[in-house]
Amino acid sequence: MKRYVSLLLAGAVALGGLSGCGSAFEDSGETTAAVTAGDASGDGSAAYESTSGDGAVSQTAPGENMLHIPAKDEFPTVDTQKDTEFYVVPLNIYDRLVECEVVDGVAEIVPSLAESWTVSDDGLVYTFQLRDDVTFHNGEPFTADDVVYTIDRMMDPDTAARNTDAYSMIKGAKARLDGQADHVEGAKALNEHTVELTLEVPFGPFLANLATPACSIYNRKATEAAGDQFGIDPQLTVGTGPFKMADWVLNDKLTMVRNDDYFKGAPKLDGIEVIQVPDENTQKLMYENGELDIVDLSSSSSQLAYFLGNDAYKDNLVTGPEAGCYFYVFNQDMEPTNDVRVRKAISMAIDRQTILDQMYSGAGHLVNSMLPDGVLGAYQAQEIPYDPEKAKALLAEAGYGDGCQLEIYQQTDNPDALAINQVVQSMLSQVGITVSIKQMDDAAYFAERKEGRLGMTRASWKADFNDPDNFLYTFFTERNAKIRSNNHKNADVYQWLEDARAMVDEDARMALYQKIDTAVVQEDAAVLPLFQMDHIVVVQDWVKDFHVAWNGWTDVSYYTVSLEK
Amino acid sequence: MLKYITKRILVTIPVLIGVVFLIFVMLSVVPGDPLTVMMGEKVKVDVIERLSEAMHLNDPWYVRFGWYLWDALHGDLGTSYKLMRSVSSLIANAFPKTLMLAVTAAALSWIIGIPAGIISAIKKNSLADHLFMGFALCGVSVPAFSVGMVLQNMFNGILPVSGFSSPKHLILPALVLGWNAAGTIARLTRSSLLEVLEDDYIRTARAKGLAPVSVILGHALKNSLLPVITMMAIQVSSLLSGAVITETLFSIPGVGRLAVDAINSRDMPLLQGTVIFTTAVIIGGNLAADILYSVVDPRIRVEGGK
Amino acid sequence: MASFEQAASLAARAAVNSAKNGFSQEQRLSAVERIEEEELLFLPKPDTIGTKLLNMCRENKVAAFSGVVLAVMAAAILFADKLTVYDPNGVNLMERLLPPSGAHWCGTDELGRDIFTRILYGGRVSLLVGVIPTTISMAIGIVLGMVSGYIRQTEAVIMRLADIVLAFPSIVLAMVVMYTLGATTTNIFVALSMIGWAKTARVVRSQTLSLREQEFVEAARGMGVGKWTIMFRHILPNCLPSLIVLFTLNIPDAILSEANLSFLGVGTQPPDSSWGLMVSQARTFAQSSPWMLIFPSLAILIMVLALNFLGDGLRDALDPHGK
Repeated sequence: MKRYVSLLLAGAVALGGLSGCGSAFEDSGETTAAVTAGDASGDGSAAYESTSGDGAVSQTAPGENMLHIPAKDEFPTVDTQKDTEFYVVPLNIYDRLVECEVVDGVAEIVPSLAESWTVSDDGLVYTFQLRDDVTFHNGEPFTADDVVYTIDRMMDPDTAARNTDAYSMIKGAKARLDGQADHVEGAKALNEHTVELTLEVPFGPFLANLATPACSIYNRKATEAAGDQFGIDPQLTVGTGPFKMADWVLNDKLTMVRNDDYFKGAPKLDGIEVIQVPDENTQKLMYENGELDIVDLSSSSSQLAYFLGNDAYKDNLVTGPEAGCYFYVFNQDMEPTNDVRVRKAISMAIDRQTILDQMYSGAGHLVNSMLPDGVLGAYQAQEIPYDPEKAKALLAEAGYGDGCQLEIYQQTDNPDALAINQVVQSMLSQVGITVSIKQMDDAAYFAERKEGRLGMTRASWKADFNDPDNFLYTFFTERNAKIRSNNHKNADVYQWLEDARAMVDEDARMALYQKIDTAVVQEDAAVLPLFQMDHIVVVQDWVKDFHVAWNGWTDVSYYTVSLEK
Repeated sequence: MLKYITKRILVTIPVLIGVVFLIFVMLSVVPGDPLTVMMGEKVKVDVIERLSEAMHLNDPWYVRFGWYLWDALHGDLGTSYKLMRSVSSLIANAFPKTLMLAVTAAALSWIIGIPAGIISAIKKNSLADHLFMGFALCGVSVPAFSVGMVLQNMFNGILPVSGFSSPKHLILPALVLGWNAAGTIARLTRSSLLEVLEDDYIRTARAKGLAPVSVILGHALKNSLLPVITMMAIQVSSLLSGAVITETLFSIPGVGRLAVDAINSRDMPLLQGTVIFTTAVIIGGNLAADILYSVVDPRIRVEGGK
Repeated sequence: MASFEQAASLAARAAVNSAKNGFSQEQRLSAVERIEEEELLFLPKPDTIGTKLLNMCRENKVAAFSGVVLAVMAAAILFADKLTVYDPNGVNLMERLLPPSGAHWCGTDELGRDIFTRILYGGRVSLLVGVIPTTISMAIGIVLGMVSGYIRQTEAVIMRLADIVLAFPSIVLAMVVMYTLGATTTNIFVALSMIGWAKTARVVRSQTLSLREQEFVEAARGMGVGKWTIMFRHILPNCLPSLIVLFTLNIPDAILSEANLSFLGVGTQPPDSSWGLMVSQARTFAQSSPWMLIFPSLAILIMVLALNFLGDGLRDALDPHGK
């Protein structure tokens, strides 16, 4: 018997040795020191931390003043030039020349790294006066050269950037990207604290565009030194923002700590932990445990009803506007939605109010345009009625009096879309349309969509920057109509969208966008706008000064937030 | 012995190449490319085209297969498309977590499975037999995620339900996996013990008037645990690869999560890397089982074999 | 991964017996194979199967009871349309997430559909997913196993192929297959068959290896009987008892694999439902509406547990060592 026991022991020891015992937890080599500062995992972890961290000293008691927020998917990098999807870290560790903030209830462009700016009368030359009191996390002072470098890095073909659209309107940017120039002609440092950006053609939303995370400003020295580890290695990723990257355990959590030298004053939090929690129910469980401080219910919508329906959370809900909307996209290259009468019939056969009330606890309002409230140019559009009888008549007129088949596409693992699609499936069956729901995994879904082959699908869009261009141009230019699988055909709209971009007169520009919107939504029924949701976030009692961002993004800056435990 | 091990390892190389080939062929016909899915809602055709060219995504699959094999044979598993890090470093960071989970789960499965098996065998076809086997088998009779969800909701607030930053975080996922494996161990212990109990020498021992319990513990158990121990080596390796679902549910940053994410984002280098690694671990586990087997029972020689 | 787990383990009890019997042929087999072989290599005469089953029913009440439970469940699933009053896919937003009551025995889901009804209809998918891929994969496995065991030239190719499949993390393989072919119920059958055959092939090969040396096979060969006739007329019937056991134990594997695929989003597609899909859809409501999680889980638990008990009972009954 002894032999077996000793064998078992030997096996256990060998396996233990392989796994390096404690090192399985929070093992990230030299960077562990920083993690410990922000570790909130409780008593048991101390022993494990100390096995790997050499002399990890925390400046604050672990977890005392750290903010814990969930993320549903892991981000590949926090280099915003190379990633188009995940902005929570960039918004907290970098700054932009300008920011978009809500001032007196209206979203406005406000100074940030740029103190002030002037625009030439022809709308082509932007001159920015930069602050002279800003330093990067590595101690380097912020200068005009860093801005020029940042723009050049984005357009440098060797960077393999994905957000090149952010600067593509600058003169010479495209030539740089195509390898025909060794710098971006339109980006110049006039002196140490003045930058001049010249555009190819006027671009109305240029300033709003500069406020997006994609236009975060990097430090030349640090970024060049980091090479391809910029945005990946926490120690090499440097910005000017209120927080600094401290540690990153992939698929587990990312830690940011306070930047005491922040130019607007040090933040009140000691740091932020972004914890990977893919499952919405688990996010709720962890919120109830106090392991998460803030859960954004608009990215966790299955939990909306639970929190709204529970009186205990009444005082924990922070609401705000959401500059975005949900809508159904019809593919005009596919039957039966190639017929405008069918598109209108579908629109009238869907009882949007009931869906909003029953599935989303009524937390929002119906919209009838692609320009939701809170976005420049939003207007009162004509209501799209719920009228199944008229829908049937339209279908009969289109030759589908005996019913027709319709495919609705969606991504797998999207329970929210699935629920709504099933409701729509049952509503459309009332007017004789037989719906089949096709689920595809993300990769297949996006690949098919890019080729214009996706059938009817539910989409949503939230403003990246505050301009109607961000909604209408994104979906309805000739090229975008294909890659967004609506295949909307209206040459006037294509032309108007290009015209509007180059218009300098704001009022005329907005009027044109409303004309475009009416043509697309009301006349062509290219999409069915559903509703604009209230942005609802559930925050713990001890979280103070949390505000919903102007556009209702889940990813926000936590600079103003403080904790009172 | 050494010769035998070398031979076994050499035999695995074509198996691994076969695995790589299989994935390349299959994924080459699946719609979707890594860049399009990564850009998601922000899709830009020109960006995708430019970067695809740079990443050689436009090459036919057999060209990419050739390059991949060439690099892999030189020890380079490539760089993950999605996570932008070297595949070997990703696996090196994730593996200790999966291993930790697998070992804990295996230990739990023995703690549950072996006693349940022994009691069931001693009281064959009695109520106790069915109760204990029933309990052990419950773990294999429901999907791991459903046990996991029930435990998450039951123990919320008492134990951590997600993540992997302290030993406490291990408890629930290890319980899910361990209970799942316990049924197997219990079954094996039971049938193995039953068989030994029928053997002549046990009958002799009984005839000598020894008390039944000491008979079982002194003689039968010793022999019947032999296959159970062999099983353990196999089991740890299968737990390693079986943790996919559990890791997803409890958001444990292990190898299984990497593999699932890699499929979903068409991240070929990462998928290949995780699959090759896991396959090698399974094969290694079986080899270890064979060696263990011959060490435990000197009557068996893996080579020679007279 | 349950399938590999069970394959390897189905009951790994080889060592003692192998040692006693000497090692004429075990040398070529790995520990896993030896374990599998020992567990399933028993060769009672086919004509005694009926008697043995009767004995089992008498001695092992739980196995017999499991059989009855399975029959009842199968009947309820088959006659689902007679036993329920609701439409399994009938959305009713006014009756969302209702707890169990007289009107809705198992409550309603997030779209107001009756869960009891959906369990009965969803059982059809789960049952089919249990039986069809198991049948297909076993048919493939039997043929390939016999061929590789009897015609030695083919052994290397077939067994290497089996090694690849068995060494591959099976859930990953299934996912890749589902993506390649598209997520439909038919393709679930294909994916699970592609994974399942290797285990059967290995067991059948082991049996063929020992049967081919038996006198009655040698005699047939001596009389000039063709090799295919020998395989299907003489070898296959003698493998039957262990195949019956393997069949009962493979079904749960397939049911659970389908559940796992559904959890990962590539299994059964809505509005159709399987038990696995129902459980995974309950995920986001697990705490606020636990009935969505509990009842479909119970359905799987009862069916799979019953199959396991029945399989174990059959093995005890049919295996000559077991007595």
